[in-house]
Amino acid sequence: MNRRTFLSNVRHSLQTGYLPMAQSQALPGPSFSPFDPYDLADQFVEQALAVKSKVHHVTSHAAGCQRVCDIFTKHQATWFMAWRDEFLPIHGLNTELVQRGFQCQDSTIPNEPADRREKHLALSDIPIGLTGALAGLADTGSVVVSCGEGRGRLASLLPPIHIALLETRLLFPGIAHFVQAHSDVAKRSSNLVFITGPSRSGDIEQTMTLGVHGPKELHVILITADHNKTEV
Amino acid sequence: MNKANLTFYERASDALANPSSLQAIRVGARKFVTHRATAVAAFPEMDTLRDRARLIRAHTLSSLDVFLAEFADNVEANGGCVFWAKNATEANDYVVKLAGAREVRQVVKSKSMVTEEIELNHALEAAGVQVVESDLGEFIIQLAGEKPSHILAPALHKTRAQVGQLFEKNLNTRYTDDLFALNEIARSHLRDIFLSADMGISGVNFGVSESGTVSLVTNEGNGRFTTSVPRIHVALMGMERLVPTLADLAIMLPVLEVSATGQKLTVYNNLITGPRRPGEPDGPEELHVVILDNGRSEILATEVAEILYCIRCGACLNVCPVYQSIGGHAYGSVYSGPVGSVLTPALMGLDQWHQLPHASTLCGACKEICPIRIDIPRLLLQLRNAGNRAYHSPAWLRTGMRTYRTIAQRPFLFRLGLRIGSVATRLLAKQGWLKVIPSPLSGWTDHRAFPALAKKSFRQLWAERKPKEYAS
Repeated sequence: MNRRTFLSNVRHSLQTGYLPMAQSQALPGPSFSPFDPYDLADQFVEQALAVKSKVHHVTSHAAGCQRVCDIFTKHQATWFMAWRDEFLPIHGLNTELVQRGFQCQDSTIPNEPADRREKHLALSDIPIGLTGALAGLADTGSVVVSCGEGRGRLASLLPPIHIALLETRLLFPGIAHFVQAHSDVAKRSSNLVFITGPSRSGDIEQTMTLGVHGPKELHVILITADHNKTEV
Repeated sequence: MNKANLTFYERASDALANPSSLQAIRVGARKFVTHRATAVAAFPEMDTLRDRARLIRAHTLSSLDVFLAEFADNVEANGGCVFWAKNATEANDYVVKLAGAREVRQVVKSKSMVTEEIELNHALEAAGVQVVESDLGEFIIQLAGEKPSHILAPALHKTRAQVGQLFEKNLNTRYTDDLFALNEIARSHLRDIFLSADMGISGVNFGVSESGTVSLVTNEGNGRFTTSVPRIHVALMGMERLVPTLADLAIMLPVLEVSATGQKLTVYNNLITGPRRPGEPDGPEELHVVILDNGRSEILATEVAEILYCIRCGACLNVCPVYQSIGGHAYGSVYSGPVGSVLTPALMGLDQWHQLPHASTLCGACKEICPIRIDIPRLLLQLRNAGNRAYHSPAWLRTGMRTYRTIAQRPFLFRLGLRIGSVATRLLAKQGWLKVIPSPLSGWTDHRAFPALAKKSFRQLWAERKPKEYAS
């Protein structure tokens, strides 16, 4: 059916249908009082733990880097996939990890169907994915991950462990505050994901189990540092 | 067996004959209710947000043509394709042709009720395309060859032991009823499919008009896999599932998710705005959005248009005494429970589905729990009324009601009727209760007794009492 007929059917129906509380005016947006993101850190940590994320609150980039290495060591990970260095709040983290002997796997997916499949399979055993975060939501313990150039979707999806690096200055009280501050965020990113804890399902007997398709562990490295982007 | 050919009462009897499913459904529904109640208790703004969500839905629907046009323009501006489907056939044909043109052999799907509604899987399989459901619940019922029994938890009627047996039989694994082990089996089986499928098909929780964004809500991550890994992503959207702005979406998502699973946000709230862009390392090469009417524009023209405000949280199913007693399959359609009793006949016609609006006690629990405060009892009554006017109610009921009207309008006949009723019921009753009433009212006494009418009617007592009251 063409668009014009489809929409004219809709328009025609609107003349007779009963839609309670219908109004043509858009609602005025909510207004929020100002907040200090640093005041939200405790609430964020509490809520992130409640949804079974693991939170590492650090006060320096060097400590953040060390925590990442500890996770690698604990899981005996030798390789990983990651966002490009410039999109991680700990500048030079990938380089540092490579220097410490971990292998960073290129995760660019080719266009050709057969190559695509092969590349996916080649990436499927990577144990850890490393990403930054555009924001954190304190009332739900969520990290907001915006995918785009140099920021792949797979790093937060494919490996069983996802490490998200989040700066405390990027915390918001909740999703509505975030959206108000980033009103064009959807247009700017082909894929924006609010991630609230590791993957889970309640589909069998409505009993929650973790790690169904997505990552089984979500580590949030929450970085409260005085200055932005320092070298490790 | 095609359950659609049975009447609602036959399907309900079938369901009642399967106590293990009913037990699983009752336990599952109760858990849903508890989870939601706990979440609402910890979320004081919920009531305000519900009011706002209702206004957003009303506003969206009242200018739906404008928002649809804006949404489609933006999807196209982002590099996606939009297809307008009048009905199931057009939607299925589009997807099947696309799969053919792109040499798609395997499709992976994330849970989508709208694809169940149009039976897309059948259409694709008939064209030789393999379709695999990736939501754990959908995967289970696909293996079992069944339909969803709950719009949120399709396998609500299955116990873990039944799932274990299904996996053992179909996936060559050792029997287990350990939840973690069952999840692992599904995870590893589906992982290979995610990585090799050519096309991912999803539904849409909300489309955002101002940006042409498709938003998908999942806990398992299958929604992200389906829309990120295969080279083609097809999203099917009922035409009413829009919100005007991202700010509106930020209201709707928590309202939906608290009502659905009791989570303030589900694990993955995935916002997709166009396919992979130049320079991006991954993502689908193509995004197709199929906007489906399939009877919705007809509903929009009627007095039950309010059902299109529904955001498919499933809360009304969990609290409904009828749903709890008979489960989702008895409704015979993919949409079950109170919302299904309105939506199914409204979408697919009262001729076949006129019994569903009667599958309710009108207790109002659905209206009370509905996040959008949809007046489901009113809609059920409207449909019952429409059904009666179309002569779908049984002849004895219509004759009976007409007779009652004749009697009730004439005080003499009404008093006479009461006297006859009183004498007759007291004659037939044992210790004040009738165990059996003759047909056509025998259904009442199948499961309960009917009290004999009192010797003196209320009207008589009133008449005797009145003079005394005046005297004092």
